[in-house]
Amino acid sequence: MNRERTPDKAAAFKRVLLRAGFWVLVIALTFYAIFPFYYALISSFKPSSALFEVSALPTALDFSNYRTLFAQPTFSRSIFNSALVAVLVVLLALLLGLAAAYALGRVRFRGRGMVMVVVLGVSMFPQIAVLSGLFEVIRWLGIYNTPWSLVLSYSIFTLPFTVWVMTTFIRQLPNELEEAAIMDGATPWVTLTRVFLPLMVPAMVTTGLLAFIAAWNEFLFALTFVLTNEQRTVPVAIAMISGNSQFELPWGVLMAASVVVTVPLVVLVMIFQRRIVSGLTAGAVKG
Amino acid sequence: MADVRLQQVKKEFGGNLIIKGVDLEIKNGEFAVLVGPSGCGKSTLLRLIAGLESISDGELHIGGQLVNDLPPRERGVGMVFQSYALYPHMTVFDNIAFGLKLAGQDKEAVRQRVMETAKILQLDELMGRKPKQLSGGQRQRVAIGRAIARESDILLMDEPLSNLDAALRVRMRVEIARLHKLLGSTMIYVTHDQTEAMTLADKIVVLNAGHIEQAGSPRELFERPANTFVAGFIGSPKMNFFDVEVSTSDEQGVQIQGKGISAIRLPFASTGGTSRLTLGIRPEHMQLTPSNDQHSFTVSNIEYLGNEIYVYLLPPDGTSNLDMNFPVCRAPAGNELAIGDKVAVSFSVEHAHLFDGDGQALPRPGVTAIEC
Amino acid sequence: MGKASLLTSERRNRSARGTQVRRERVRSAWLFLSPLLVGLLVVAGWPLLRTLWFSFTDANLTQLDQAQWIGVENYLYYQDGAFYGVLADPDWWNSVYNTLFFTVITVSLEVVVGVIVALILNANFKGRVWVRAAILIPWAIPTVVSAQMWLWMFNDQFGIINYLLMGVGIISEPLAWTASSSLSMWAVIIVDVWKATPFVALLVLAAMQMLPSDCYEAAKVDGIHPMRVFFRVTLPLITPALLVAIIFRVLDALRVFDLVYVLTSNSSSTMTMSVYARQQLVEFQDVGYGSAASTILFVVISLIAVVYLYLGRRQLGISS
Ligand SMILES: Nc1ncnc2c1ncn2[C@@H]1O[C@H](COP(=O)(O)OP(=O)(O)OP(=O)(O)O)[C@@H](O)[C@H]1O
Ligand SMILES: [Mg+2]
Repeated sequence: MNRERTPDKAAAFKRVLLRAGFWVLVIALTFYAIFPFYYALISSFKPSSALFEVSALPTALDFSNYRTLFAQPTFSRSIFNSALVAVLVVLLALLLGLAAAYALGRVRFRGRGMVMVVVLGVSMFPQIAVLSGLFEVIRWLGIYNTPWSLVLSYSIFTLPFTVWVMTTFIRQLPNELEEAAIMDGATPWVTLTRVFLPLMVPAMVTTGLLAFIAAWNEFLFALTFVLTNEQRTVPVAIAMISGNSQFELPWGVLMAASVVVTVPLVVLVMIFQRRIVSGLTAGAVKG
Repeated sequence: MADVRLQQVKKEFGGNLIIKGVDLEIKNGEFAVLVGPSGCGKSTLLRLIAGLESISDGELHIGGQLVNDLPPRERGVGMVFQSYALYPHMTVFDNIAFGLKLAGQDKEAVRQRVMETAKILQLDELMGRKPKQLSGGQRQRVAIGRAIARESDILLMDEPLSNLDAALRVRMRVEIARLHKLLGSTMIYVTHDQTEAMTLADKIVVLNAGHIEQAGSPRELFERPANTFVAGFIGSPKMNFFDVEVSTSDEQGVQIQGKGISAIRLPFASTGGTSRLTLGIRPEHMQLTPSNDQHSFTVSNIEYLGNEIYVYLLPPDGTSNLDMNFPVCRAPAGNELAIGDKVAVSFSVEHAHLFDGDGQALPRPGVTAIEC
Repeated sequence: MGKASLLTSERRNRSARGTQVRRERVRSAWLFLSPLLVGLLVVAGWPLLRTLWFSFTDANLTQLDQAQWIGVENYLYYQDGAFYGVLADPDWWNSVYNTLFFTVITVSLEVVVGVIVALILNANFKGRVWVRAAILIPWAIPTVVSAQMWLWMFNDQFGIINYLLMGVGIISEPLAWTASSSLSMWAVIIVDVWKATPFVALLVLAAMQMLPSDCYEAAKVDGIHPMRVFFRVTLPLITPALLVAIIFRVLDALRVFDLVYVLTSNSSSTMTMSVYARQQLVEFQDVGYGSAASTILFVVISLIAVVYLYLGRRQLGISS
């Protein structure tokens, strides 16, 4: 680009303008993406008196909102619930997903296409369509108002997704590797656990992260299958924070809670963005 | 005993017959090399023997036992893959030990056997490394180690050296020959490399489009090719073919003549019933002498190879033979020929091959050369 | 002779099923799949059937087991000169309209903005990785939390949006973004576009990064205008990825619940099909009626998905 032969002034000017325009776009984009989070962050550090003086810049560093937040025992409890549910969901999805991915990705058998379509179909289910039926199942299993109800119900979106992405990943492993294992006398189970599993760790980290985020963020099932404050997950807890009336919403505490819930995700995104992107796009762009 | 016998073995993929009824016998301890053009089914045949593909029809016997339905681990075969297919997450030791552990041997026995294998392949120093940390040649040796560790009677190798550079390929070739002597196992080896085939094989099997064209010792195939396919496939540059006409034939031999080929009597008993035959002469068996005859060849191109030259010839009427391949002749590098020279071709009769209209070699009675 | 050929045909039959290894692999494949299939049956298949069944009953949330079959009354029935049932409920049709409006607008905006964002991220500039991480944040934030953050920004008295707009002079009075019936749908749309665009952008970006660079260089050498290059070269090549992104977004938008619920609760000007169905199911405890609404939503989504999958089967790689 900078190897133009004749430094034509108008062209050079145009280039500078283009360049500047591009950077304005980049900055606008970044600003647009992170402003709500940033604004929640600075609001959460304002004492309630300062909250109603609108300002886009940080004006205070006051922790009272956070103290109020963690003084409520149910909030810490709901963070624990969310983490517990998300971790269990991830483990379950990875376990079932890996086994299924091996079957779907590496073995040719009649009915495979059918299973793939079913898996994809379930991932498109509107959650509301299973709500009443699932409610009945959960009551019948006796897990209503426990984290287990969420571990079970979240499988409806984590399982198809995990299977789909891991199948894409496991297909990329070379065929000869599996044949070498067969020559070594490995059964499918041994091949899966001792040859593929170690090689699938990166893919499992990726899918696990995505499943974790999905489970951490879920709202409809958590709102419906859990009744009491002690069993709630964070999204429901946050949706339920309210003052005595519309005008008395404790905005500072609400923003503090939002920040607390979001920070782990932001950290995950920063550390694993490459993996997250590859996982998000693996199922869709391939093939 | 680990002889391998195939009887009318067939393999089809989705209705396409890829292996079209192969009969083959490989004796215990023999080194058999499969050659043939790309896509002719060499890998498929090897995988059928390994048990990685199911046999559609026919019988496969190993050591006298019908093994069509046995899984690979019960056939007593080891396999070296072209891409090596080492387990990337395991050390060299674990790669070699994996099969032994799965066979249920105890820890000490496994360790001992792995160490023996490592010694044979000079891998002792590398036992703790992962495949990523190895050179191509070392990976190749680990792959072989993995295949021989279980003391399989039969070793299958699919183009094992094709990923190595030329110098390393020669070294590994020698190494494989040494291993074969040392282990005494039956080897079935696929390659595209003529030198590998000629130097390693006790028996070369030439495959073409899913069937065997000829199987025999390297010398047999080179000196007595059964048909034009084998004749053209073995040897480099490939054999020259000329269309010739039979003028007379009797028990003494066949008198032939063709464009640029003056009348000559060859010691073949019959003409196979046709008057049009194909004469085959290898490039190294043709002598060129300057000539002014209007029926002589013209030198169209010369390639200099250092120790020798390849001389490409244009037939007398300017057209090439049926393959559109110009005849080529190998000559000493000091030769004074130049492009455009007219040359006459001569050869000694014991190096001439005659093929009938179907490309099958004419039988050759045990008669010595007759000059005419 | 007869015996020999018999043997061969018998062997052929045996081999048609493959070697022992193959049979073992197929058996294991089904074994490995079984937990997944059982899981999907418990959380998806069976509940869906039950929802379908409930939609033909008068089931009530507190006494699910006493549901009585009432035929299609939940959907539509005629009595005393008037129609009743979901299909005769103006609120339902309002929620259908809202859902479709929301879907069309958000997905269109997300596709346009997403492609622009992908183009920006596809350029080579310093700090690109950080910008990419930044746009992942809206995607990663829980919907409920982003709804709360935007609620605060939308706040009519103390919200920064009104403050800025008034500061610049675009508006003279604070707007009631989430409470006003004309603005609240747009508030929902703004937040959804903010949250879902990164997903579209990342899919498109991934597709862009797989494009061959030589045709771009050729176009550059030929001096073709970048706009033309985009519409003639880039757009056709990223269409498959775009179609995938669109189907995912459309299906998500059609079933939208949490964003609407938290931003505007059960307000009728933003009520979507999912919100309507849940209100019937949980708040009014009318499982039969709510299930009928859910079933209709399911049918609509399935139809769209099937048509779309059929048209774009190859892009999703199911056939492979
Ligand atoms: N799993 C399969 N399904 C369908 N066709 C196959 C399969 N495996 C091989 N073939 C076909 O069988 C034929 C022989 O393949 P094979 O790999 O045995 O050739 P090859 O002789 O090893 O060739 P190369 O020298 O290129 O390795 C090819 O035409 C190939 O397309
Ligand atoms: Mg091959």
